[in-house]
Amino acid sequence: MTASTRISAVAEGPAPPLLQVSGLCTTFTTHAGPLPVLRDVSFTLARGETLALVGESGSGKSVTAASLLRLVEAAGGRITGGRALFDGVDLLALPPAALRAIRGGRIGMVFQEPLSALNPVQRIGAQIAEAIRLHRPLSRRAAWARAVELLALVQIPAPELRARDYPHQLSGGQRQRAMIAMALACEPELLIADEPTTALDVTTQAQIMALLEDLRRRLGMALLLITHDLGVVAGVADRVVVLYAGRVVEQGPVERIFAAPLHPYTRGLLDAVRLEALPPGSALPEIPGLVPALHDLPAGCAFAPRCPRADARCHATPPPWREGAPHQGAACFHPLPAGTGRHAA
Amino acid sequence: MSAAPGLARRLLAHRQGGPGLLLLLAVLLLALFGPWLWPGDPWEMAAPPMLWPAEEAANPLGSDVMGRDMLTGLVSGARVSLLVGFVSTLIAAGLGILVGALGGFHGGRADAALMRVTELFQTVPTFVLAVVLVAVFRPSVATAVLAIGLVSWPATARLVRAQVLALRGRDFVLAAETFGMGTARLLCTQILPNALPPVVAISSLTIAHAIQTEAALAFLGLGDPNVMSWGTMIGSGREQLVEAWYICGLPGLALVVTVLAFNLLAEGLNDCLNPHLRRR
Repeated sequence: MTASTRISAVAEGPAPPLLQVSGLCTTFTTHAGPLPVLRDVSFTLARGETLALVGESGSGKSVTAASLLRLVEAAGGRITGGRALFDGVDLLALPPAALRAIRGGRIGMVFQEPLSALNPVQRIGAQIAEAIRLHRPLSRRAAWARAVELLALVQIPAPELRARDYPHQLSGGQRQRAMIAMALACEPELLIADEPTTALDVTTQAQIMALLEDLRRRLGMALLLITHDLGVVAGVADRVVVLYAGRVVEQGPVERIFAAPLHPYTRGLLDAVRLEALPPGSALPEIPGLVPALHDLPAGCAFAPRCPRADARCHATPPPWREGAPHQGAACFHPLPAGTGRHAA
Repeated sequence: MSAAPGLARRLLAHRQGGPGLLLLLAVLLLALFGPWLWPGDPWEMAAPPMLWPAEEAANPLGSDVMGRDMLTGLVSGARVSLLVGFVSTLIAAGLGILVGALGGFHGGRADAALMRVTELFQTVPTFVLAVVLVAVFRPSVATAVLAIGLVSWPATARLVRAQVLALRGRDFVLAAETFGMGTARLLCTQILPNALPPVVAISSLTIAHAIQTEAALAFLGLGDPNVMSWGTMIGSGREQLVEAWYICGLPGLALVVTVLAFNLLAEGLNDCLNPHLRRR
């Protein structure tokens, strides 16, 4: 099954999206004053679809995930606006009990660093069993059996033995598999994976991504994948949302984003990883300048100071959202013409 | 958590923990088997007064100014000291964990209010407060335990709060939250098991301090009038300090040994329970 057939099925279906985020704003309070980390983030995710959220460090990818499950509050952040409709229910307005039922029940989450995301003093099997028993009325014994089944599902060898191990006794890849098993404990409809492979070595990364993709297909989940690895995006994503300084700058189907990006920032990101087209000996392409500090954002487009196409208007007013192609749009006054995505030789 | 036998073995091998554990074991054995080995009422005037130790076979550690057997008194004192130490520390640890965990977890106003109460208790000299509490009620072992427990929790509360604050934002706690855990379960299954090792270590110090406080209360005559404690013995022998120093000296030595044992044990527990200092 290719990405395009999945997209067309999704796009033409009359079913409402599984997740519809609109106008999400999250602010962190710091000594330097309020920090607008997310500003008007909007995207949708259909059932069974894989959506990649990409951007540089500090662009707000992880905060978006943490905001959806309202975890930012524990980290000192505050959701100041917007809605996140999950199957018609606004996650941002749920009372605590209903929120707990959805967390780990209908929405699972995989963290970036599995060693720190597992309780160091509890056996793997007990942690998974506990996650199951939070949502299912199972006996301890039945929950343990289910935990072993889940460990087998994520392809951990000798799952009965590993269930009795503590997190520090597993390898990095096994820990991330265990973390995924825990997130899948109650067969969620949506799995949020926050840079699930960043802490792993390259071969393990490929295995974990293949596992996630396989599980998504088998269990019919939607996957919200947060990553800065465009190689991973090209491999598994159906659609891509590009974040820059807390704003969505471009979104669209993965093949459109890679073949014909509209936003100069997306183009810059792609150029930075398409090294095979470079003549040997030439300098590595980079986007000049730095991501602006969030407490000192420019008045207009946040990318304008680094953008080769920026003019006075870009510096003065934030660009509105524009559809540049079917299902593809960008927040840019001067989108790139179609067919310029390939690296110019 | 590592198994208890493993911890005992590591403690025994520890430079301070080993001697501490052995000393404590000696006091514990004295308290447990003493009444059976040397039966008798510590208040009974069973011997001539002021017998020096080893003077009479029937009173191996001599007798005090009223002819009460020293050894029976020391055994009774060991039982009182350990009982008061353990139970009052249980109360202090319970209160401290409750206050610290709630403050650290919820933060904000609840935390500020709980910490002001903690500071209030910390600014009042603990011994004076304990004296007042015991004097207000009738002096007994129970009131001593309660009074000491009520004045000893602030240190534990501050420690637990700091631990909970540090653990609250850790990934595995957030992860557990994404599995749908509520506050009580997060605290009991994720945060507290990871916060407890230093609490165990500080509790050993709290026991040592509670034993000293009990002895001081008894010395001032605020102990249980029906129970012979080390403090009572020191108090009753203080006027004969020159001609019969052993009447104060022996219970004093017992007190020093017991308090030292718990201090050494605390040192050992701190090292053996700290995963950063422990080699796997």
